[in-house]
Amino acid sequence: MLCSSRAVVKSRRQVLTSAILHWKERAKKILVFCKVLSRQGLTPQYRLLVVGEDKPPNLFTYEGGEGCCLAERTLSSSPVFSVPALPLIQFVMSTLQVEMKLIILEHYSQASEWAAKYIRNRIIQFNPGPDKYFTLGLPTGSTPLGCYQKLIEYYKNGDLSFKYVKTFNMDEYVGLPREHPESYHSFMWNNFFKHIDIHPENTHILDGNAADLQAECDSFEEKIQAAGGIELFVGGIGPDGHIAFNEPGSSLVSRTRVKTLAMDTILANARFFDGDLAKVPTMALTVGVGTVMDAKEVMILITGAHKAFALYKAIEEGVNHMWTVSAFQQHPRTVFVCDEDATLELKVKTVKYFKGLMLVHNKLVDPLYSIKEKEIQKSQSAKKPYSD
Amino acid sequence: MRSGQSAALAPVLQFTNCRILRGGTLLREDLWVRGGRILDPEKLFFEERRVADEQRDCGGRILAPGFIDVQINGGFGVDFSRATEDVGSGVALVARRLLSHGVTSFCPTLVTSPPEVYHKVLPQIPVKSGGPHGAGVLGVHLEGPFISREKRGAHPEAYLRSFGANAFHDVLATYGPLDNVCIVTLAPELDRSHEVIQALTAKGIRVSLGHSVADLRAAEVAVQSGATFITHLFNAMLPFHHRDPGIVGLLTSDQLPPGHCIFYGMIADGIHTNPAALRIAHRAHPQGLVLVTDAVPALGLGNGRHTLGQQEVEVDGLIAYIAGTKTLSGSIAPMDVCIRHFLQATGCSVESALEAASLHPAQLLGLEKTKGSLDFGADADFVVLDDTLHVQATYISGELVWQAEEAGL
Repeated sequence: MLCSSRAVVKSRRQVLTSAILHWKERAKKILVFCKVLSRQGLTPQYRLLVVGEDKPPNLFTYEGGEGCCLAERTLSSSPVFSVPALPLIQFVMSTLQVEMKLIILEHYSQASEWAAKYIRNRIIQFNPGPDKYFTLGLPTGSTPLGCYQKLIEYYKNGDLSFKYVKTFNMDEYVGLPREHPESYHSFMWNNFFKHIDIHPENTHILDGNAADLQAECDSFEEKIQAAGGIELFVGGIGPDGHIAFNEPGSSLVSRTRVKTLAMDTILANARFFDGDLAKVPTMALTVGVGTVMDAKEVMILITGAHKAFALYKAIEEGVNHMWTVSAFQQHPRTVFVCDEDATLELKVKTVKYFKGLMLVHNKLVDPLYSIKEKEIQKSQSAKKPYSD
Repeated sequence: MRSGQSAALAPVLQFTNCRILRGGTLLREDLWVRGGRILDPEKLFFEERRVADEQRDCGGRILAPGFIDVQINGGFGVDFSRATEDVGSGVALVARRLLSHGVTSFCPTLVTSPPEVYHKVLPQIPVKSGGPHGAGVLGVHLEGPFISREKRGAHPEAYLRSFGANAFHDVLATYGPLDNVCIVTLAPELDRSHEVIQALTAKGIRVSLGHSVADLRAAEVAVQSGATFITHLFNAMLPFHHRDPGIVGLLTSDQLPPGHCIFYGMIADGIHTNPAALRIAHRAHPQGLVLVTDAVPALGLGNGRHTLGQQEVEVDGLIAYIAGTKTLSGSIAPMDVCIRHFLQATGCSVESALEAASLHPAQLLGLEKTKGSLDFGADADFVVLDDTLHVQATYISGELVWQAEEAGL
């Protein structure tokens, strides 16, 4: 249940261990410790088990981001820390966030908006620049449309920029002309790229018409590596629980490769090709489950009753290659964003548990950051030397 | 190949925040232009990995293909049918002044004249691309002299002709070389007209039916011979009769060759055609409607009395009278006025009104790949319009050639 990258875990552990030593002295040290982690570019979630002498244990969760303002605000406002003597405070070493989040919203539109806000906050907190690009993995299909529309809206309102964002798409059909309206190139262009300020050089979509398809897949993996890996991979799933074109039975450590589409998928896609099965592509290039697993963070959008069984398989049953999305149970940072309809097959207990956490989870998108504020901050901090 | 390379190096212009007329609908899309042509931005993005070199905010306005006027006799004091040594400068003046009305190309029209006029004038009006100097010339429209005596309208009777035994030879003898001609209006009831129609069509010249007393049968035969256009529907032809609808009947005829679209010109200045007649034509056959101005030299001269050749003309708003009388001396409504009137009179969509002045005339002339549309690869001739369809700016080959003072583009 640990992060896939061991080096990161080790360094985090070291930091945490030293933090525990300091911790016994003063509560304020937590803040210092959070800052240390943030400066190192780590954004784990901390769980502090705070045990007072005459109180039951309090569990407090903090989601760290770039900078530490959230931590300071939350910690200082927490009543737990007003207890004068804190000798028995224990620092619980579940500090690495190794749990999955399930975000349940009422309707598709709210789920889309939540996902878009999350992406927006992630990009802005990352503070991308000319030498520090935010790498974003992107899906196609009807599920993410609402999310894309919101992101476009943020861009148009000047709250978000994709100037320093690199995107990698999950998949593309083999042999379908790029300009075909059903190609994923066309999809991305029409539903996202043409509306935002992303530079074409920074977008990556597999070329399903490449002469050597496997070489195209290999070079895609290399491009992801060269970009420093994927910061946030956004995905959707099929009713059979496939992520990208990793259809049931795909290896859970698979990499980018050529994949033959399942009959279910071909049948489902026929409606986009005049209902003519002969016109539906039967092969696709797709990132592997392993490729997505390597992303630092994964967000999966699941909406609609027809995906309810897949969501159940994804989170309530074990990891299973017949429901490839279930692999993300082992990813240290996965967020499932769904609507009520998609939870129809879940246990009431599961739904209630995660709904109970919504107050905490909503802190991920509230406050909602904007590059407008960043610019104001910048201009204010630039002015400071004169005002002092 | 060389021109292809230089086109690829040319700067990419992106018109943003606009509604563009494409595929019969106004789309919230940007218009991309390079090397004088409309560019497919998706191709640019994925194949060349390039972005626009310059963006222009259109302030939410409409971008429509440049207007094409296939019937204009003159304007701004210039009469195309007047044989002078310097026809070229007159055409150039009109071409330049038409830009403010959103017209990016036109067919200078010569009314019935003696052969020596054709011989002298035609060589002086070559086909010419548009630009900052003015709207492009697509070719001359010859209206007459092979027309009906009864329906000659304002055409001088003395110069009317019919076809002799060697019909096409007569045509050539009258007009001289036809290199600069793209439309000929004739009356199909004249003997041997079908020979002429076939010969003209074979040369790529569009034949239009007008100034005629032809019944529907004769008109249908003419269309089967190759005619594709009707000159100012309702004007100078037999009125619609339910047992013989005449040329008007072509709009709903079932005797036309399969897949053949008959086009018809309409003067929608609010004076020459009753709005009800406009609506009848538009509802019967919207795809064929081509707005024409049929403008006379008094176009654009402003109110008051003007001397045009031997004629005194009195202009009052959109009406030009022969001075001292209440006799109409021709249409003086510019194209943008006609479009607005057409829109208001028929209650059609903005899209239909704009296409009637751009796509349809381009289709009539077989130029729909390059003119009359904003499809990828077409010439970047377009107009910027506000919501009331007033022209704010005119572009030819992606170059701003005219703009209203307040447009700020």
